[in-house]
Amino acid sequence: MKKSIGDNIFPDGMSFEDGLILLKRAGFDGVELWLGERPWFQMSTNDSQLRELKRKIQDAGLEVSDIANSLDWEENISSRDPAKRQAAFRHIERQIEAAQIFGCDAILVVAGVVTSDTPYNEVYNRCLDSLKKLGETAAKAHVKIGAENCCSEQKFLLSPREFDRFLADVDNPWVGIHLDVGNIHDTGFAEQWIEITGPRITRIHVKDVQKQRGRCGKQSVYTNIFLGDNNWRAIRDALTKVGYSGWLIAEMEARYRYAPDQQVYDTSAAMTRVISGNL
Amino acid sequence: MRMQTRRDVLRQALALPFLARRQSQSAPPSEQRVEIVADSDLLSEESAHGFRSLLKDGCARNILIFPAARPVSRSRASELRDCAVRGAWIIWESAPYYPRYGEPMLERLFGRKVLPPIPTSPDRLVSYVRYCWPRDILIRSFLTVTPIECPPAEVIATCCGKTVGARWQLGRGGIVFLGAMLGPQIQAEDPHAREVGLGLLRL
Repeated sequence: MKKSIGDNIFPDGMSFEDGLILLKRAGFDGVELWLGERPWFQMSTNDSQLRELKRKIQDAGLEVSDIANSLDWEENISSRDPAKRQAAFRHIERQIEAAQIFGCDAILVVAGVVTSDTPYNEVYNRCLDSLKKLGETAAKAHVKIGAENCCSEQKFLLSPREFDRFLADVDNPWVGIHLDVGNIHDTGFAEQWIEITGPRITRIHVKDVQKQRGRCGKQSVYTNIFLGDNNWRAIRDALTKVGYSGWLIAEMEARYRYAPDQQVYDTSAAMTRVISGNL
Repeated sequence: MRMQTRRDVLRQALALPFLARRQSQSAPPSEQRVEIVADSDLLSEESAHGFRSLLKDGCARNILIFPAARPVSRSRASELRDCAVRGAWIIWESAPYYPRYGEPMLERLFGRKVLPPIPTSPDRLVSYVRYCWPRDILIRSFLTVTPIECPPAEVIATCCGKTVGARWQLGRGGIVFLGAMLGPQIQAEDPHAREVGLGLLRL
């Protein structure tokens, strides 16, 4: 397995180049690029600018593990507003194009956001239709779409069997799950999600979660690997069980008030322990 | 109508043509059969259901399966041993919930020492059992696992550094000891549990 982390962990004010050097020094093999998050990768960034980013990544001795986006929360494929849905199609297709440019085979999307005025069944059917269409584009590009399980925030596809059933309904091998083992909170167990969705996993996000903490206000449930309630030994065994040998990608909240680069080093070290199974 | 007791079921199983004492020791069994000797408790029934789901794929031997097995009496155990000696394979799935007073019987009759169970789930020390036969795979543990002492060549599963699954020859048949519940995992649609289960039927 290889280690990656999002470019959104780069400390504020740090350049793209310096961020890459930090990741390499910390022992990462790759970087997850977030469309819409940082100035160097926006919808306005053109292909030649992306190729320049690719060169810098290669010069740093890194690869691109996948292309994520931070735009789905405002422009989702489940939106009632057709303009927002169309915008979601555009940025997801841009992710696929970027993946091709960067030579990686996976993107991350948040498929579906249930709200009080966008009910569940509507979201389900709209996501199904959208991912069937986007899946055709993904298949042609040989890039897998990984729908992330942001269970608590999406209020959608809240159990592993349901998620698996949803993907079975999409019925396209180029559409799978980008499984975040920290996103399950107190509604389940990451290792069981891994077992049930195993063959459909495109990438794995790692972080830890404090299951007993209430999710209210600004109090975050997320924390560094090994500081929360995830059963990391079981997670590691489950990854072995389903034969997952792809990227592990840290998705950390920047929590260090001092020496923020230290969080990158600490995360890398923890991920090495997870991969080694020495837990 | 009187409900069939476990003793009735066991008696019937032991009276199967291929297991009967009257059968010649040298004569080959007339047919391959699997009997599942379940107790009338929910866990045993659940496990039996898992094993039963495998039967349509056939088997290569005469096999007696004891899902979530409770201890049996010494005389019954002696009969089982005779069955094995005459060519049957006995799959003994140790139940995690019952008193362990039956294990000395296993040691006396089957020659292997069964150790006290190890809890896995409460302190989350271990969640998976590693099988090395029929191939190297992981299957979730089931609350506790029951270790057994046996020669390395007989080991089929380990957990917490202990052997929790073994198989060994006894006469023309043999014993498979499962110290981790397998039937419920088959019932839970774990494909690896199914693989191990099918492997057991092709001993």
